[in-house]
Amino acid sequence: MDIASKKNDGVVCGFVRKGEYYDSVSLMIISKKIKDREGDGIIDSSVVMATKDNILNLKQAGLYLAKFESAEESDLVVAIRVQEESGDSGDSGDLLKTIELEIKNLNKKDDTKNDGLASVCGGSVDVNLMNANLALISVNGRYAGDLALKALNNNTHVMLFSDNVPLETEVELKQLARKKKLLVMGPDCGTAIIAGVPLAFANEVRRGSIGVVGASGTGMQEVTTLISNFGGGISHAIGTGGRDIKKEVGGISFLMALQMFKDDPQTKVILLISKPPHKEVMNKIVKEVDGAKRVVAVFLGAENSSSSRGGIIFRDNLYEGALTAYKISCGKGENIDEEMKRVDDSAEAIARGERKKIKNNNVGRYPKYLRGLYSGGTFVSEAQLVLDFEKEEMFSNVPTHKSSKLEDAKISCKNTIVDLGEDEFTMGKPHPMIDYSLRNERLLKEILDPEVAVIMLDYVLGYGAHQDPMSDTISILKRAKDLLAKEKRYISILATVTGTNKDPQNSDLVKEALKAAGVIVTDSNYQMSLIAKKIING
Amino acid sequence: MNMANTNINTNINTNINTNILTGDLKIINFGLKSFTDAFKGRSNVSWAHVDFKPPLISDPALFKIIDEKRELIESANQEVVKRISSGRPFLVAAARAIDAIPGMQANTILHAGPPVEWSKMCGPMRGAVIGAMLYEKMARTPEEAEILASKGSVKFSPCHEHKAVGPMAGIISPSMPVFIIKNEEYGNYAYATMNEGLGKVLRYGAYDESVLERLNWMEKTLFPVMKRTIEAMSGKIDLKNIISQALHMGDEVHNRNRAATSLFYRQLAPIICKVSNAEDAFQVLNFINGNDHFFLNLSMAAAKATLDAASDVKYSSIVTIMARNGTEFGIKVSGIGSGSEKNWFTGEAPIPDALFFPGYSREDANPDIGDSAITETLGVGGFAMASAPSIVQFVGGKVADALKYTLSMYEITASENSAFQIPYLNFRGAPMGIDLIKVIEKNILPVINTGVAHRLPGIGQVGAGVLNAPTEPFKKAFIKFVEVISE
Repeated sequence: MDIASKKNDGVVCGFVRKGEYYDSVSLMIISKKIKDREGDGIIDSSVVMATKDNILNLKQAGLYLAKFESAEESDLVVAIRVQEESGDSGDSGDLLKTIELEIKNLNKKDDTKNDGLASVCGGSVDVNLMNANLALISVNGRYAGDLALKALNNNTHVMLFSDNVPLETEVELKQLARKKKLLVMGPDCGTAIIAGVPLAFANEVRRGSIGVVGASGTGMQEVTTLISNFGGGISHAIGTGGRDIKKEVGGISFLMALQMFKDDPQTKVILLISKPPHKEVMNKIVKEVDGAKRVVAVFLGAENSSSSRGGIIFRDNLYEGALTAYKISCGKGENIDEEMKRVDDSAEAIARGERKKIKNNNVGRYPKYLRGLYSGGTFVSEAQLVLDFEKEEMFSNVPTHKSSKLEDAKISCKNTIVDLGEDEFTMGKPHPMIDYSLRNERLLKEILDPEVAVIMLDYVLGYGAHQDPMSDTISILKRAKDLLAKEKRYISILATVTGTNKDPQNSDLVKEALKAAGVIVTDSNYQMSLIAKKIING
Repeated sequence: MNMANTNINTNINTNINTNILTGDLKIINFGLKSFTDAFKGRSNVSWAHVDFKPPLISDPALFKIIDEKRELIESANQEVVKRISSGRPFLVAAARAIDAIPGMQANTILHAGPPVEWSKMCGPMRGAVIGAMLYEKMARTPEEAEILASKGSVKFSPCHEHKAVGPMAGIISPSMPVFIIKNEEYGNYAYATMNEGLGKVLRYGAYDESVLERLNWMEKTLFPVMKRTIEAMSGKIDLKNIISQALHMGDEVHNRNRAATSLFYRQLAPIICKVSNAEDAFQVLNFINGNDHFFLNLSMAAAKATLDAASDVKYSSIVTIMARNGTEFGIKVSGIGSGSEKNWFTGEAPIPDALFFPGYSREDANPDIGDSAITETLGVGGFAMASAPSIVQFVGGKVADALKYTLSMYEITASENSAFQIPYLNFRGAPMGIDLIKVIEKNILPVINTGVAHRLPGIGQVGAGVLNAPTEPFKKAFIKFVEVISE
């Protein structure tokens, strides 16, 4: 355990554990544990498998040590930068030992109690095991394609949560699957609900007659929870992965899912969620819709989407899509004008109150910008579309045609909508849906910016997500409010909670806690974005 | 496969297999275990979780060759496991090493593991070499022994290259008495020394007066008694039978040999009394009685005799030797000329993550050493850990861990040995025949139960533990294996 490479501030140290493979969640747990040790003077840290990319990232982050040179892909690398303390390296040595011990313990914790049909350890195991009919694959993308292929060859449907699967592999897998009449959800499919069973990042929703096909994970979480909270229900929600609707893949899974819902007696209404499909794919979808079942589509960002074409009812945003599908499912027609008017009115009322508070509590200052700190990718697009500001006024690390690209994702500019789940933030760090520390830091930073009038936050609940979301949130919000009070300023903090009260985190409890902390809580990202827009536009 | 996709329909847009929408979900989860949280307490889901590890080598070109030869490999491996399971090792005689072991000469000293020269030998092995040279009177003092050894006047050679095996340093010198084991099914022989007991012993590198005295006693008293006893029993001591029984009695015959030693003792005691004078009989019986590991050398030699018969089967990917010399860990593979003196695949020997005796720590530990991993190669030892729950604490674990070790070894073996049954697993046969290809594909390394030697000569055992074989020898062997089968 040597201490090496002095950078501008602090000292970098670390170690390699040979031949120890950890999946991303374990890595997250480890990095969270290290983060929790902030009091020990840790400035920065990274816990990664020593792939070429990760080593490069370490170099860029100034966390590289000479001893990482010999590390191989199957080795774990831990690097931390600690504050330099009177040249005494003993402390960081102890710190590393403690971290190493924690990693070992994590390894041991894997208990042997059998809670599934079987518990098997190790590698490219026989997918024939227990005659599975669905393989849920979340291993590193380099190996995911192979596993998926084995599953398909074994007549097993596949959900590929893994990302970084090459496009050619996706096409091959889906073509084979189509031949074998099997479904491939993904790659990069974050959400699905099959027969009420949440797969990966998904929620506990009512069962019912609405079938959802989605090429967007958070989008599916939003519409399924909204429908459930309206009182409707979901038959199944089938994810396809974001690339499915591109020309190369040709919508294979999207069309198969649509077909499955047409054949499924339980499904009465079909709701499609994605970014605008390639036009060839779009034509196939339109052709597939035969009018026997009503189809509602939200193709976020499509031009003149609010129209009907070939029997599909198009909607602009997730909220409208969910509401329309819900109304149709209970035989109340497809017109949602009245409901949307009410949403608009209530948003206006809230915005009016907030504008007043901002004006009265920021004497002599004119804060005018909003900052959206998101964990859900689809919300980032939806928010930009709803906000609909001038292109020069809105920035994002994942810009739509309504906004400009942020020069540095870590530094906000004017109105900024940032996706904290993008690779630039998550390399070697936990995803912000699981660990809020990155967003909490960013929140405190944005609060200090006197130009900021509105903060937007999304709390995505359900399986896979942060299991105790309010644990670190409330104290951070309180710190933010205290800071503002001290400076005699006011910022509107808005939040949307994606989830149901049957979710493990219980959305009701989360909403109450946020309200108690002075946050304006909305039921959907659409409503939050609408309020934010009205506050800013005045 | 219990699935409703038997209707063959050429129209691709209809009849999509909807079994997951309408029937129960049977999910196999690869990767993030937390995803199974959502499945708990639901009646329409059953699931299995697989902790995924990437393969040790993922080059698709190599696996393509393996796939092309898959049938040849399968049938070769079937032949190998047939030979292993049908082996019948018997203790048939005792003799002086030089009179029995093939290729042994007056200046030969055999050692554990793959080949290693004097300059690279670890502390305990050097100590044991010095002890053997003093015992053989090749040198008068330890200093002289070191000089002679370094000048090349001793011919070092691995036990395994002489059909022999030795625990820890595994030193066999010409005058040492050895057991002769015959595989009655295939007619081949294997050799091993007699176990000296615990404490200050040669195999841990001790060479003081007490060690030499014991070696002399073994030569003068133990050896003739053993020789006469085995002769009187007409060489009919069935080691496989003893091992099978011992596995039912809490042994795994590597780190625990208490039951096997007792069974052996029970069989031999009356004959020992018959062929010896009372004092010799007392001394020999007392010696065996005082050493729970007396049977270890026999279980090792039984494994060696069994596995040697499975050598050199073309296209077989089964490992027939795993051995360590305290510096390197080496393996041989049946289909890569394992019967020849060459064809070792080696890597650095790991330091066991063990439980240490009071006063000792990892810093004191020597890298893994000894031919005793031949027991795991046979499918007992760490592979049969589920049979020996009483020693899991000794090696730092819970009973559930013992079970896990054995279950995980089924993942990398070609078959199960019905002669070696594990009571706790409903008498399932122990995992047998380590398949190199599975080790690489699944990234599961063989588990080995091991004693830990102090890295300095003469101190002895400082701990015990379970460790995984290192990856390097398997990776090297795999690449060579693909080369060999594509010729």
